[in-house]
Amino acid sequence: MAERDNEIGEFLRLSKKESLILELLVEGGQERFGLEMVEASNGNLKRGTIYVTLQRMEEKGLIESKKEPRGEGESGIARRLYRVTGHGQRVLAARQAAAKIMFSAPMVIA
Amino acid sequence: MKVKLKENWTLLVGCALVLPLVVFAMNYPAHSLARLTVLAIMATATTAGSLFAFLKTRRQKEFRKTKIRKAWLSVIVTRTRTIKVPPGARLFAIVEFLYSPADVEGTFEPLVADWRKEYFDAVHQDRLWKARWISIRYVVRFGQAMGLKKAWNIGREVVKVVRSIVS
Repeated sequence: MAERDNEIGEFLRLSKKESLILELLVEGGQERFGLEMVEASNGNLKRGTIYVTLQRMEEKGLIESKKEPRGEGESGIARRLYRVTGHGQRVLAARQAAAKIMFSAPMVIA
Repeated sequence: MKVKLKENWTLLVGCALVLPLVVFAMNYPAHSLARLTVLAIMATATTAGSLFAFLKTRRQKEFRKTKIRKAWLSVIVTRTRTIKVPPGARLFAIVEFLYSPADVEGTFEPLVADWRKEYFDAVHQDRLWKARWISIRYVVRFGQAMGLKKAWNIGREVVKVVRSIVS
């Protein structure tokens, strides 16, 4: 029950950027680099701030990441590939369902 | 020493800047102040260019046997560049000192990796000015990330303390 409460809390705390990142990862259906998400977001995500958001989302368990596989002889800092977790998919689905209910239901005046 | 016209853009830009000055000066009498000023600017620029070429000639072995004019042109045309420190290395050293390993790995490593990817892509395309511009922009982004990360960490700690006090 407490876990479920936490999930509801996380869903409510999902920011606009976090929601957008989840959408991009779910739409792509595969692992993506941070830079790819910035390019796909049409200016809504910035290079300077995306990784702070991604790390925060990783700490929340919405996404997971791994280092880019490197070939032999390749050196230097590896880029990171991000993908959405099952929990992240559920949170996004709940948010989209809530938005649908909020903006499509007829207004009832008592 | 062969000089490719398409690479000799600096000389063309120089000519484009000097020509209007000459045209401007020709409108004035022979010993007028404007004409003398333009001549003085051109003489200074030529002297500085020649001096620069002379120093460059002395410093670089391959220029020793060439004439000053050719050396000057080669300074403009052939640019030999060596990347001694990869972009972002110094800033990365600073964040390694200031932030936790988890923050460095999660936030700053991918940022530096993107920086280097974009930078070296531009260098491979021989677009050095674009590469420089990318570096400048990434320094700003790095600052943004550092500030945001620190603010987030402080905010999180404050929330923890407040929650512990409330509960």
